[in-house]
Amino acid sequence: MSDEKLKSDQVADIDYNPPVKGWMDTKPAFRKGIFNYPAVVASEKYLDLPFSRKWDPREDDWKLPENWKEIVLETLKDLLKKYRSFKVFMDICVRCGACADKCHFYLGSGDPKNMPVLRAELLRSVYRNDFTTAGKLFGKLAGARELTEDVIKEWFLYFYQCTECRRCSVFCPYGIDTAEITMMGREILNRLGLGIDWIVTPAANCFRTGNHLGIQPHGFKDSVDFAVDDLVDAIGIRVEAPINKKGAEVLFVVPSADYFGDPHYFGFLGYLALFHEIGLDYTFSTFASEGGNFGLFHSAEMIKRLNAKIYAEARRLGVKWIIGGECGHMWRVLHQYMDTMNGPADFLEEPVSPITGTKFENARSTKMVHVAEFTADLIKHNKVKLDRSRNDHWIVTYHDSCNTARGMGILDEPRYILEKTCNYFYDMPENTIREQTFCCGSGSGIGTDENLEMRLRGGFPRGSAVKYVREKHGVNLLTCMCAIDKATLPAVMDFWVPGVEVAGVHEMVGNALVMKGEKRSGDLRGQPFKGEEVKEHV
Amino acid sequence: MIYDILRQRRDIILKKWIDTALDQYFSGNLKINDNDRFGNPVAYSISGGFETILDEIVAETHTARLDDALEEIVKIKSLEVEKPSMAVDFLLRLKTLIQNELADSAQNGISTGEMEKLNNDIDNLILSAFDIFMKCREKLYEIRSKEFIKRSYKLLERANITGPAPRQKGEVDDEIG
Repeated sequence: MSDEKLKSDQVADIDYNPPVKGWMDTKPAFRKGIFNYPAVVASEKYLDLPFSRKWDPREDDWKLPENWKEIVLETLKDLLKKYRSFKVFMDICVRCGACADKCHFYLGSGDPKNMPVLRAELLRSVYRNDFTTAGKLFGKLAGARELTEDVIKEWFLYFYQCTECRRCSVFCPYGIDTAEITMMGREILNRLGLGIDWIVTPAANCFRTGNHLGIQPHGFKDSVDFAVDDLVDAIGIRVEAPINKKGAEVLFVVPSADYFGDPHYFGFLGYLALFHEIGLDYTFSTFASEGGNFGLFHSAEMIKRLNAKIYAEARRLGVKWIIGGECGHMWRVLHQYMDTMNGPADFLEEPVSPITGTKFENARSTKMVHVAEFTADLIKHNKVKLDRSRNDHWIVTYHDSCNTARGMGILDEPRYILEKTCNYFYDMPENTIREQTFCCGSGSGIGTDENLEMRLRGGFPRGSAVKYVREKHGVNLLTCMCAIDKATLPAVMDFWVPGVEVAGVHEMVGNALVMKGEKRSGDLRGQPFKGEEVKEHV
Repeated sequence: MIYDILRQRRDIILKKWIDTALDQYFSGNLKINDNDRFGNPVAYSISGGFETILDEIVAETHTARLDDALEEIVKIKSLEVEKPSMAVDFLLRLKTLIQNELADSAQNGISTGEMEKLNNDIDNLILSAFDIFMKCREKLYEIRSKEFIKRSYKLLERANITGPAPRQKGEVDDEIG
């Protein structure tokens, strides 16, 4: 949208026609609220990233290295050679447009460069120009364009307006995965020192302390102890939450927001209560104190660096297998990259639930099971007592997090858990859930304060679907299984559907769980159960 | 008289109004279904909202539906443009469209008073739209500060510096809301 001032005599004579210039000639506009701030130098240096410097996207001079063009083309060449899928994606798109209206950012902003086909074309046009004969001979006619500084600026804006959610790839007849194209675009940008702070600083923290927040081992222990104390208030039981316990059967890895963020924290209390009740022999690790991996939003090398601690800690602590908490992108890495990047985990055993005896054959190779799979299995085998009425103050719907839904196919387990723990659960319309789920608009490292307006635009399709179930069923709680969702969907709800709160699936489990020796009249947030409100005031 | 003409030409005006607005969003040859509430929520909100606004103008009414429609559209606009003038221009466009449609009827007995009333009705909507825009922008700042508090509250709580009155869990939102 234009940023020009309207003059009074022009007010009634506005030109409503789209710009006549083609997309190649339309320069990117950096307006506050829709782009992310560059990485701070200290974080870049900590990670030994190239060309760290202070720069501002709104200024003309981005202080690119002298040989930036050479770096871009060399990197592109390397990536095309290294990733066969990327090479194929560059060549096979027929620009049919099936993906065009599937991106939440395009639907929410109307900016044509947010159509997945055009986002890919930003990179593809340079590929054509420098790597294909047709492009070299026919130039613009063949969809090629010269690499200029404006192209780099455009990449920075639009590759950080993609949440790598992969909704578009579900609809592409060729299976082109725009998330992978975005990942390649970001790899190139990072080689020029054009990273964003919300990715680079958490990555630097994670490399140093094991978690994105930079919490040191004693801080991690404090946080877990704090949760144990809170749980005493909530359920009247002091649970054990072992840390760095050698020889435990299971290593439990969670996203760091679980023990720090709101509303993640209430789900964390839910895990602790559940594991206590079933008597699971598990341990946390102070170094594997983060399952999330912001390296995924940076480069393949960074994914590997940040992920290495998980198997290393499993080996050090001598556990048999691993359970992972509620997170989205964490699971994309664990499910799709960890095994080949830092495996094989041949020192671990194939996961078997000690409570039900179920073999998690799907995790035979990675040795890591999603907590929703683990809990659904417990419920299926009647190993926990649940009182659904304890969630009666919530009318619940479920947001499939992109990475767990599209990335690893966990579609039914969370719904099964919610149906068994809540009396009032209603799904959103079919074309907004499961494989077709809409993104929260803030994933892949762009859930920043400075990018709030773009996030809310991207969150509009999700907000619109929640509004529908709110109007139809009175929904007041949006559950999900992703740390980024839990951090950013409250803002989306607040703006588009006020009155709807956000919670993790295991918060519902923790509420409904009937425990031996418990003393409680309220949920994990300290709110009275339905029917208990009056008693409180007596 | 003027409202009779508007009733007759309602469909033409509405189509032109919606088309120009959607052209701003979904340019080129790409046709997006504006009836799919979930597949294309922006187009759905604009089409439905414009219809409600025009119908209420034509019917000379101002119900809660009109306020809701206006709010839904301006909310979308408030994330796209920095200046209120650009968020409310869709109503100025309606004014122009109506004036163009009535141009050939101008000599056919439309009174100045009627025209003035119609213009006033739209001007009032423009003023309401300005107010909604400001409310939405304020909401953005409120959301920003809420996010900041949520991120740092646990830290303060653990450092035991959250203030004199101990809070119950679950009350954080209420206090900042």
